[in-house]
Amino acid sequence: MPLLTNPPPLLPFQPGAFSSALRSKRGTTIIGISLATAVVLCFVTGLYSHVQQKPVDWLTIPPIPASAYRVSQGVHMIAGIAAIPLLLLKLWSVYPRLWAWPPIKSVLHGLERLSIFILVGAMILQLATGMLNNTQFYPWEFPFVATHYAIAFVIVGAILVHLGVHGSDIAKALRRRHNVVLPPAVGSLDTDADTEPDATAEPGAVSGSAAATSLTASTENPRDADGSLTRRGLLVTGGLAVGAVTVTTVGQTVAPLQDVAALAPRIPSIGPQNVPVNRTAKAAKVTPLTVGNSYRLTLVGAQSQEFTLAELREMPQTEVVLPISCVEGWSANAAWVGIQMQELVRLAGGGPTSNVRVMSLEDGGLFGRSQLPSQFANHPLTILALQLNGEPLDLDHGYPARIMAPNRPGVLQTKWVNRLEVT
Amino acid sequence: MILRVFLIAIGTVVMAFGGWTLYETIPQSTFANLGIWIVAGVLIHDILLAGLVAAGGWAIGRLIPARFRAYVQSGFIVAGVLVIMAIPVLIAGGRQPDNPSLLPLDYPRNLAIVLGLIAIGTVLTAVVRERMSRSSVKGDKDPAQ
Repeated sequence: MPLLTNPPPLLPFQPGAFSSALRSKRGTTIIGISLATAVVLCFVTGLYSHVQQKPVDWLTIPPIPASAYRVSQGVHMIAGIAAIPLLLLKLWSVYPRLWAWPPIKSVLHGLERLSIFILVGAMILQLATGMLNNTQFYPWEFPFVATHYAIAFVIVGAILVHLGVHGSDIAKALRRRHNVVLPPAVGSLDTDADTEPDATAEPGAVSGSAAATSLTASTENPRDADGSLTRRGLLVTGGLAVGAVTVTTVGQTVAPLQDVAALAPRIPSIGPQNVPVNRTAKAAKVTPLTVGNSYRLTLVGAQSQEFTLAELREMPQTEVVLPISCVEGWSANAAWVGIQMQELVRLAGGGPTSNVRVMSLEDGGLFGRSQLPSQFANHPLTILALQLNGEPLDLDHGYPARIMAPNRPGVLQTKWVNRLEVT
Repeated sequence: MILRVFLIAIGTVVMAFGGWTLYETIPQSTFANLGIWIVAGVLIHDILLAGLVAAGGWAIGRLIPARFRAYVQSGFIVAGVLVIMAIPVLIAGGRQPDNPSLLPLDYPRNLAIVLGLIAIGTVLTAVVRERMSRSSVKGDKDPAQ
């Protein structure tokens, strides 16, 4: 293949086109392990959220700890947001390999590059659409949830392949120690002295400007000849970047930090009755008219009956403090007052093993109904809530009545409840 | 070696499961749109963003004195990552008039404040650490040493 023996005369293909000193296998490995850790956290918490919303027979989800879903989904978002700087750093650290020549050396090498393309494409897609989903903006045609779920497996699989392909490089990079100590260079953030040569390293050049700087670079210490960041300095910077994206967003789930959550799509204390809303009454096509005097709660079971709102308010009330925890990562604790589900189940002629099917004035759809398996229906923290923070529910929070149960995603805390079927 | 082959085999199976799940659960009419998003994401990173980073690195190399260069690079990396992370809240395409609790903040203003703080932090760190390293060079004659 004579055409492939020489790289094309474009800058990125030229030897020495990329900065050498900052890229190292050890740095790439450290960043890669951090990124893989974030991905695993996202994957595990994502699966947990998935089985919450699409229950499987072989797994019974316990109602306690009450904050389990809140913590899990909070971690999902923290790890996902941290993955943004980690992915960018990781891609930067191996960027010269994108322009390696020849582009494909063998069938196996071609397959490996294909798997890298899939991994990179899937990661970028997952983070970009995930972040947009948090703002409820969907400028694409494919369904978000199904795609997010499937792509997660593609990513984890591609990472396993990647670990298999580069296993020995990773092991070597982790064993590597700083044996050589050089005097600190002017302007460096520290005295990191990892001087081993790397496959990605191309000494004697600086990013994007090979011709302009190769002369000076070749006559000085190649490590940080021009006062640029050291490798350690770059890792510190990566840590600062992770810290910056975390601090400016984590307040959406960690309420004490909401004042510094400058870039969070949600603030736990902003919303009707100081609690955020995901699906408004308007979006659900519930109007004050539909929940007016004609409202009845229908209890279906061995002893079916109907209640007006006044009758529900006459029943024994229980206060619970439970978080609303959205799949989009925000959560807010609040005090809810209402009737224990145990009591309603008993009135319908059911018992501790009864399941409850919850139906809403909102017709059908993902939000219009939910199931309370017996371990939730029978738990003392599960209520049909009538009040939030000491007032009747706002219409957007599900007036006149909504479900509040421990350890549940917000989408299952059905609002505008008008029918409970005890089975 | 056996472990590595095992990882590659398992990884391929998991990837195939993901691909199959995708194929089975999303409408076929959306495959092309999904493909565009994946390819566009890679191209935006590999060409546009990488080009901006290279240009930025070149400009910093030209404009910033060597002794401050590392701090300025560090500041721009942190700032750039924050801007990328903030793109969805800056677009705020999901804002709905009936739900003021979604995207409740003035994000362009907040981002400007955060970037300003990063700039101040970068300058302070650079100046203070530069002074410290200079005084420690002079400190060879310091009686306290």
